[in-house]
Order: sequence, then C-alpha cells, then structure tokens
Amino acid sequence: MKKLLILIYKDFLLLWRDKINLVILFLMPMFFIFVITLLQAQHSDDSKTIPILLINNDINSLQLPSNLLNNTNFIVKTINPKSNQSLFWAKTQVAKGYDKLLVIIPTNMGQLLTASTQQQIVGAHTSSTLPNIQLFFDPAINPTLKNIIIQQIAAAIRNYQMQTLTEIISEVLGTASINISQLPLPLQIQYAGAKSSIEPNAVQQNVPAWSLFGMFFIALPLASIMIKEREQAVLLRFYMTPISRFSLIFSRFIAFIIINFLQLCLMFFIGIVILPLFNLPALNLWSHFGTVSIIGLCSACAATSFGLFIGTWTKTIEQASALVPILIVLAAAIGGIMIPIYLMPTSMQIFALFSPLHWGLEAFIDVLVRNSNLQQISWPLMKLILFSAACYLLAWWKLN
Amino acid sequence: MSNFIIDAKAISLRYPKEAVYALNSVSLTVETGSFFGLLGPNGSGKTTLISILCGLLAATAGHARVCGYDCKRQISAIKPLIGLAPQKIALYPSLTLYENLMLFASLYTLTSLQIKQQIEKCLQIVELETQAYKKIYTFSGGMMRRANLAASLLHNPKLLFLDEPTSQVDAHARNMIFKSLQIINASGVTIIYTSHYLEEIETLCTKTAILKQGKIIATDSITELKRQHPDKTSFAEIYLSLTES
Repeated sequence: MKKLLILIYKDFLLLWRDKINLVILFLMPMFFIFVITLLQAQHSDDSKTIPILLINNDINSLQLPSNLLNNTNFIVKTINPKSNQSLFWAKTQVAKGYDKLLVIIPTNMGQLLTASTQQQIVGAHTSSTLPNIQLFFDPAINPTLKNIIIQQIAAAIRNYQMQTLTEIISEVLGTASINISQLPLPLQIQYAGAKSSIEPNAVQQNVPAWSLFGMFFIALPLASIMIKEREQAVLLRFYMTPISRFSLIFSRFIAFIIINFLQLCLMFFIGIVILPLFNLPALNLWSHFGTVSIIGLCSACAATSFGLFIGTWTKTIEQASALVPILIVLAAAIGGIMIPIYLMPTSMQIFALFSPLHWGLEAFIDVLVRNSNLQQISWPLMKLILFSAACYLLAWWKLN
Repeated sequence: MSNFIIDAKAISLRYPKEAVYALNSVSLTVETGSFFGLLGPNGSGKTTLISILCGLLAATAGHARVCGYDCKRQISAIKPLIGLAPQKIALYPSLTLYENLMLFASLYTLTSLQIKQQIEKCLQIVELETQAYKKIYTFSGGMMRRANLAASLLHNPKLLFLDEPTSQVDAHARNMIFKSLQIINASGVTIIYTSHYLEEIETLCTKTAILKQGKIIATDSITELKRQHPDKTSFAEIYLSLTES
C-alpha cells in the first residue's frame, strides 16, 4: 500500500513539474468550456446580429415591409429603390457575405397581395399573376439559418394575408377591425420530466458535454508520460525493482482518475461560478450532487483507461499525439457532443452507441436535465465501466 | 553453494519474426566479486544476455542461475540482489536526483532510515552529494551517468549490470565513474560491464567474454587472452581479429 502511494505521489509530482501538460489538462478545457458555452448561448439568445438588406419597391403599401421588419429577428437595412446602383450594390454585398440576405419587394406588392386574398375569399378567378418577393442569399449561409429566415418571411406574409382576411370579415360583420398579432396565443411551453425549478438551458447541456470532451484529453499527457518512461528506460528501472507490473499500472490509474476528477470539478466550477458572471444561468447540479459525482468518476475511469491503452499500444509520442485528438474528436462528433444525436442522419445515429463520450453525456443529461436517478442511468454507467475495464486490461496485457 | 554468481548454460533467444538467433547457445560463468567485461560489436547480443540474466527477457532455450536462483522461476528472489544501470539515463529528468533516488529506494523493502542512509552512501560513491537537489535535466552527461549508477546501487545489490556506463561522457567524467566502480567492486559487488571502449575493459575487468553474432567466441582474463595470441601486440588487436567477420 505504501509503495502504491509513493507511485501515485510520483505521478502527481511529475505532472506538477510539467507545466505544459498542466495547461493542457486544466486551463485549456476550462477556457474551452467558457468560450463554447458563451458562444452557443449568445447564438441562441441573440439572433439580431444577422444583417439583412431590404429593397422595398412597394412605396404605397407600408404594411408588408413593416411586417417583415417586426416578425423577423434580424437587423434589416432598408435601401432606397430609386438609386440606380442600389440593386447591384446590394447583390454584391450579399455575394461577398457582408449581408446574409437581400429581400426585394416588388411594386404594389401589398396591394396585389390584398387583392389576391380578397379574390380567394370570394372565389373569384384571378387574371393577373402575383409577383414574387425575391430572396437573394449569401452562398455561404448556414442551411439551418437559411430555412429559419425563409420560415420567418413566409410567416410574415401569412400574417399579412390573415390581417387582410380579418379586415374583410370585420367589414362584413360591421365590427371594429382587430390586429391579429395582438390576439392571445394559447401556448404553454414545458419540459417533460424536468424539475419545475430548473429550466434546461445551454449551460446545463453544454458544460457536461464539453467537460467530457476535455476529460478524455487526459489521454494525451498520460500517454506521453508512459511513452517517455519507456524511451528513457525508467520503466526498465521499475521492472528491476520488486514492484509488480499490476501495481505500476494501477497506481497510475488511481493517480490520473484523481487528476481527471479534479479537472471535471474545475470545469464544473466554470459553469457554476464563472458563466453566471456573464449573464448566463448557473450550472445546477447540487440537487443531484451524488449521482453527478458517480457519473464523473465512471467517466474518469473510462478516460484514464483510454490513456493507459494509448500509452502502452503506441510506440512514439508523435503517434499518440496524432491518434488521441482524432479518436476523441471522432467520438465527440458521433457521440452528440458537437451536434445532438437526433439531428444526425439516421444511418449515423447508430455510431453514437459506440462512443464513450455519448454514454457519459447521456448519463449527465438524463440526470441534470431529465431529472433521472442513479438506477435510470445504470446502463450508460455500466458501458463506461466496461469500456474502462477493457482498455485497462489491454494496457496491462501489453505491459506484460 | 557455487562460487559463481552467474551460471548460464546454453542460453538461446530468438526474437519473434527474426530469422537469426540473438543469442545462440551461450554458456557463461562469472565468479562472485569479480569485475567481468562483456565485449562485442553492436548487435552481438550483449544487451540481450544482460536482459535474460536480469529476468527482463525469457530465454527460448537453456537456463541460467543468478545469485543461486533460477532466472525464469525465481525472478522475485533475484530482483533484490541485482542492480542494472541501463545504457539510457533511467531517471525522471524533471525530478531532482534526491527525489529520483528516494522514489526508487522506496520501492525496495527498506526502512525510512535505511533509505536515507543508502541515498547518502550512493551519493557519496558517485560524488554527487552537492548536486542532490538539482533536477536531472540540468546535469551534464557525466553527472547523469553517475546519477544513473547511484540509482542502481540503492538496495545494496550483490551483482551490478552496467550497460555502457561511460558512453557519451568526457575523459574526466569517465575517470570519476571508474573510481566509483572500483569502490563498488572493492565492497564485494560483482560487476558485469559492457563497453565499446577496450581500454576500459583492459583497465577494470579481471575477466572478459567476447560475443559475436549471439555466440561467445572467447572468455578469459585479459592476460590469458594476450598469452593465447602472442602475435598480437595489444588487447585491441586481439579483439579486432576475433570479431572481424
């Protein structure tokens, strides 16, 4: 036992003396979580940063552009349609990516849209064709964002048509006209199974996800220490001592689990203390502290064993340095860390089942967002432990 | 009890996927308390032989006894009795010499007091007492070699394997290592010494074995080898004539 503690202390000392690896292990993941969560929260909360150009040729009808302006959540810059250069300039702006969209409303669009709606109501056949509102997108626009913009503009047009419809009905009934945007919207948004006091948010989902990503990067310094020991013949000196190979690998396993768990605590500290300073909700894990600690421990076991596996099976630090980031990024990508699993193509979703990062994330999200208990997350935890055992045994076998 | 600290009989080893034997039926005896030189060109099997005698590799044929114990079956009994200073500096560069020595000494069955006494003794032998609290990476090549030697002596081994302990060190540092080794040998420790420097073997060793392509081609004292080859003027000439293909 004393020898085991000496070996564990030695690993702490080695890491303490290696400032670069300390930065890789602790500061970088903390900074990463801070930046990613801040970015994702800003992205979802503040979409008024996307610029849109509007050329309104329908000067007699102000209602449609105002509908567009009010109903879309983007910065709309209106351009004078009289200027000869305006169309070419606006298209160039969008083509170069300075603005994401150019909207061109044709002459008399409001009037023609109203007439078309009225004719539809009375069942009259329309002789004139309705002109189109033209949308010119930046070719590099995010497809999801493009769809959101189209949906919002379509909603603005539908809103305009609905308003025309209500005005006709009010006229027929002789009642006062109503503004449909002021009508009550009977919608109640809730999260099934979630605790009423905690609303799921970007922090609650992003911090555990990116923490897991950071935790698995422990494989890199761990593997590099092991490879250096082998290259410098320090391992040979250990083999000459009366210490078993099991003790050698087990002490390292324990030391790095402690380090990995400390790493997780610091990453959670960012979510609990630092992110609220930037107007983001605090990571709430106190109501599930015990369960979250167990998930953290199982994830630490998996990440550390993965590091032991890489450290024993790769021959050089260069090999490990190339392999570890690729494997972790791949596991994160297929594991739902970067894109939620349900947004992936069905054929890709099956791969998530093989990602340890997904198992950890599944357990964290189930507990922190879905309010699950330890028993309900036993299967992902079991998978993490099995993965850890497999990597550990392979590392031990190789060491022997 | 035999007077031989090493008694190897017909040891052979072939690495997996290799066509030729790294060691081919090597038999060797080393007397207790001797300073034994192991010579041979690169790839002749010196390090492989040491690895088998230290229990780091298992011979594919033959058997060897070290300190009276079988190398294959009684390795746990052999380990506390032998020391190895590998060719590379087998110490953590980011730790101080004292931290390194403390770490490796703690892995043997020694009391805290014994550990401290042993560290002091080893530092004294290699003349690094004043450098004990400096990190290994700050050491010169010669100091690293001596530190490497000190770490191999912590548990008072009866038999010490030294794999090219003077490679890449200057004449002054080499001389200091020689002095340390002579002190160690005088205290009753048997030394198995491999080197490419023939003058070192001639100066230090009482007996030598010359390996070539996994076989021992000569084993005797330097004086006896010289007597057997009267046409050669020096030990270097004898060695070259024996190992030339």
